[in-house]
Amino acid sequence: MHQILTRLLREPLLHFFLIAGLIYLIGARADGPTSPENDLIVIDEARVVQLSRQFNSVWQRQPDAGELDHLIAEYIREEVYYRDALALGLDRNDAIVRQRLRQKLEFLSDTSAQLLEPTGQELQEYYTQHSARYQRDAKRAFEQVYLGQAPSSASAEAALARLIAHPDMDVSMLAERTMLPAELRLELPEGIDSVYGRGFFEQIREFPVGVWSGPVISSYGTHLVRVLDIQATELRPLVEVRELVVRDWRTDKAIEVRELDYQTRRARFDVQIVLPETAEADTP
Amino acid sequence: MPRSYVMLLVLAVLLMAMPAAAQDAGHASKETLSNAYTGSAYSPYAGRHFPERPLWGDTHLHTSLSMDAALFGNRLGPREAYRFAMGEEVIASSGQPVRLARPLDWLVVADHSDGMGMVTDIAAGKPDLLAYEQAARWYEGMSAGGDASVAAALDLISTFSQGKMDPEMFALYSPGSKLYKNLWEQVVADAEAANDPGRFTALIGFEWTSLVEGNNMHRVVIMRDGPTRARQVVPYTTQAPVGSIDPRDLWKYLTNYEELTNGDILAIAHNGNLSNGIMFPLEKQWNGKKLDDNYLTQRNKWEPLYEVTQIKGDGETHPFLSPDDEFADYETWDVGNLDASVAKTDEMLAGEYAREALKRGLLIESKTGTNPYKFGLIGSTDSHTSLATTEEENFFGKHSGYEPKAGRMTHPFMKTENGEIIGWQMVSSGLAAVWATENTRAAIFDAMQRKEVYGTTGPRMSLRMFGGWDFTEQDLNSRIPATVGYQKGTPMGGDLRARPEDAAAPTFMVYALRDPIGANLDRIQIVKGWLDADGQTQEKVYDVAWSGDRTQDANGKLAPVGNTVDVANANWINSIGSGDLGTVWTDPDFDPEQRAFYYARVLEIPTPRWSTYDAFRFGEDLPEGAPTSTQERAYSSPIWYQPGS
Repeated sequence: MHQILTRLLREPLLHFFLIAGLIYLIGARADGPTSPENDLIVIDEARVVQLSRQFNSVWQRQPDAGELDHLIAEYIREEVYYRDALALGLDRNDAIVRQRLRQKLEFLSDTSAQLLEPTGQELQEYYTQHSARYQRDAKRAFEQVYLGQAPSSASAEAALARLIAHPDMDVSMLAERTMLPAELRLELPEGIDSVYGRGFFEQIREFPVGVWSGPVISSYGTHLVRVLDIQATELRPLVEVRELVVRDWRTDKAIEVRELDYQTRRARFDVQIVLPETAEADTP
Repeated sequence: MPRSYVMLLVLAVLLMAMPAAAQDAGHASKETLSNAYTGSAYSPYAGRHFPERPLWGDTHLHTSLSMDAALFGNRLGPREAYRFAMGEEVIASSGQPVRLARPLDWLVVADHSDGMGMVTDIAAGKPDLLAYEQAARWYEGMSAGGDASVAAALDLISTFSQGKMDPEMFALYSPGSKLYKNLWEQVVADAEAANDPGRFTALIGFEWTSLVEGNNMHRVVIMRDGPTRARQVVPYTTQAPVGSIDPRDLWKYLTNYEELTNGDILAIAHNGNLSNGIMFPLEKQWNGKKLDDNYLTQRNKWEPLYEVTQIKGDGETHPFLSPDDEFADYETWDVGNLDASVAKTDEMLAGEYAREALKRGLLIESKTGTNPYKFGLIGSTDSHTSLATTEEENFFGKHSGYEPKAGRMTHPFMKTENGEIIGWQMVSSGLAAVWATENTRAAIFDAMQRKEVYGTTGPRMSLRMFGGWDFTEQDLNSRIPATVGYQKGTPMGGDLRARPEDAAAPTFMVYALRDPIGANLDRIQIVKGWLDADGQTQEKVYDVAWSGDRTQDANGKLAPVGNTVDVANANWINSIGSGDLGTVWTDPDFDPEQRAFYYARVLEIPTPRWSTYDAFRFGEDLPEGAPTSTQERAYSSPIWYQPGS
């Protein structure tokens, strides 16, 4: 028993509670008796709705009667702590609280930015400035020879050498039977991968036009590929990507608005930076 | 020579035959014309206008704008649905992040037209609505949470299905109201914003939700056109005074749309399996009136496709109808009609399934000259979560109440005194593959119109089928078989060309390739339906290509491919089956006097069903009756043969 008590007394949590209690006593005395409104906690229908909504968003169902009682009890507990903590000023100088409050104001400014609508000219300028974002990937046309599921690298190299030496040869002499398309017309990277499997396009991306290259691995096996044509990237017209440009414009605008909002708030404060002599000398 | 070339030539000859036609190109001579039509071209893609790869999509996706979807907790609108289909990660209504393994190429957001947007507005407590007693009551209930909100949702459903909605309030969410028109404009605008020709297509559409005493006659309506035409109408509904539950009235709406806007539109029916026999009538319409000429021609005209597989059951055929087809009983839902208010009887089945309907079509055509059921086949999801998930390992359920969570498999999906459907019976199906020349609204719609489409139960295996009179093994082994396919024959969805006198039987070049990230193939089958000499419809399933060195037994039966599914770990390997299959098949039982259709069915090797993944991930037992593995499949559109053609 004695041992337990000693251990308890060494427990930091206990110290915390003791100090908290002390602060509370001092604080309560300093603030005088609390007003009756502050002592009143009302659980009305709106509160119950809010609590069940929160429950629902987590559990995807409404709480049953027992769970709801528990939710309400927990809410009251939280409210009691919350009010007393505020009364004691425990919110002050708390890093998490400070961060959260800052977030809340920033969120307000971000939300207002989402309501902004660019003028036609603003949008055009933004689109021109950031045209790189609205490029369409290059399309490629190519033909392929299927060498089977897992040909030896030597035989793949030999096949490639033959094709390079005789670019006009009948490629079906080398090809294993496959139902894969032997050729694709100009197609976007995702279209190519949709047929031959993910990662196929990446392998042929750098292949020059008109030269048999490879081997390339698809979802089905090994291939040699001759790119027939590359259609350069194109800038998608503004009408086509308007929605996207507006979204990007808003995102950038939100950063701007947030800064402006901060500067406006900042201007209301008189900030004095008081530093020791030596440090001050170093500041530019 | 491709048909388009022949057309061009004919056109050119016609033009030349008109001396008065002032042309700037100069006089045409044999030399100049032969320069223009050299036959073989230097450019490898010149003259090749046929589609090279299937474009994958879903014709039938519901968002929170559908009343029932919102009631079951869907909070994602069309924008989220498009983003998800394009491959972006979204947060599902249940709060879980979700993403597709691969993006879709196109999507139709097809929300229920009746009361579109109403429930989301009630839940949000939209002021215009709260003036109505019902809306205020439901809003209060929904906000109250707990049993009150469930009760409110159920009350709303039963009030609607009994036709007891406050007519004035419901009119706000019906054709004729400004609110409804604005809502439709937003639907169209969202599609337009997502539409990115060449990369992703957002076709504009809606679902017409006709229900006759619980018997399903739903149709998805799809437009070929963009906003300019789509905005000239609002969706067609089933509720009076504007709407109707009679398909003939829907066809009138479609006719009117094309006349008014000069656009193009079509309708796709689904879930005949929940229609209790009225989806594909043989003699009488749903209201007891005889099938007349108008019904037959209109149905043939407006309904070129049928959605053969989706979450609420697979609708190719039923074991009762196809007792000799060992794969007939696939994801069957045959408890009753849509709300299980009336139990199913065997007599109803013939009016419910695609294969039987195709057969009935031949019979009706032989008597009247018109085939009302000359449709191609697609699959789609009918998902109500705004999430077009068909992958077994990534299945987000029929509606938001069945998004992944422990216990969803054993929760009753539907339960009446007639029987019940349990959660595990939801089907993670299907997808629509379209052989379109490019990824645009026009090209996709046109492929649907010519039925050059097929359906799968989720995987993206590629499937080609050509019918002709003289296909050879050599054609299949040529470097680009499709070139020969189009030259010598008809692709899926078409009619066999006129039979040459010396042709004994039609030949079909059919080939399939497994999904690049999916399972190997077990076999390709040809399903033939025909009308025999006695005027009776018949069917037969032929195995035409299969993996490995299996042989058919004396009865023509092929041994099963095997099964690599590790149920406990929800895993499988591609050590059996074949990456691709193909053959040229000649009908061994052909009779030139008998009309017939042929479609291909491709089976994958067994892979874990979604319920097996659920059991593994949630550490649950598999529910009784749930198959551990599934042989996913593709259904091609048929090719038809007509005697004397």
